[in-house]
Amino acid sequence: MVIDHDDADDLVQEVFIKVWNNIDKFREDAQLYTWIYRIATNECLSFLAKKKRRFFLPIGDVEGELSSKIDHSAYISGDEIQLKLQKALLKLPNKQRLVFNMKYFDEMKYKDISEITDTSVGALKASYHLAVKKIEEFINQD
Amino acid sequence: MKDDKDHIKKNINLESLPKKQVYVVPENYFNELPTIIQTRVVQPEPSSSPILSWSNALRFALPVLTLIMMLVYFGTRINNDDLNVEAMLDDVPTEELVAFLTESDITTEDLLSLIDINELDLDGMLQEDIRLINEDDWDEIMEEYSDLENEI
Repeated sequence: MVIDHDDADDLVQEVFIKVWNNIDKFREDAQLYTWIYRIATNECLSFLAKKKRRFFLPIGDVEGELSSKIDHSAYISGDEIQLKLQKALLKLPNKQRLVFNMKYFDEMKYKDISEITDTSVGALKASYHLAVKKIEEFINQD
Repeated sequence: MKDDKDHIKKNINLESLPKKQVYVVPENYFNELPTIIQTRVVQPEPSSSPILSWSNALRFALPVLTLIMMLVYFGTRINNDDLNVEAMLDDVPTEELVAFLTESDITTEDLLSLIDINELDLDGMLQEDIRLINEDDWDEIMEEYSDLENEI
């Protein structure tokens, strides 16, 4: 989601520290992994929102910065089509990208994504199919 | 590589693409992660570092300070300008001021509108006018007034 390895590392650490500090608040009516996922997605979306605010950049520029990292990061390696897919993902709004990653890469069930993101299954399905359409359009360009 | 280019040229859909993880994790990252987190949990960092607090404080204080400094600067400049105008007018002889006012189109009403009557020392001004009138003129004026009184 955040593309840069150092940012991802910071977020992973923050998430586990939050889990450690708040474990007594964990209600057992949810699965532990759903709860941790929820903390992780909140941290991630907050981080991306802060990044956008911090530099007073419009969405396009944040997308440009992250897209450039896909080309130059030492921790990203893939064939042309895979990198193009990652760049296509950056065209999506953050929450839609999050839903796409959970469904496509993590192969999660809509029901679980619904619990994590607090969004209805119907809305998630619509969001995912719209995302797939946008991504395929982008990949088939040129 | 040839396969990749074929993928791009075709009208591809996502389902036909093999899922590959492009993000590479540094060696031993997950082995070292628990230790790093345990260290951070055992020795919690200060909730907000002084440098961050100062930078946040500066971020909000700087515009306010700049605004205050601008107000002070322009405020004193305006006051100084007022003082300068008064000092310049003090240097101009009264006769020249009277000549200027006579020649200009400024009406008495315009002048009065610029003056705060309450601040004027009317008695002092009257005394000054009386002092400037010579004795002959004074007698003449008094005679005029006595004639007027008789007519009434």
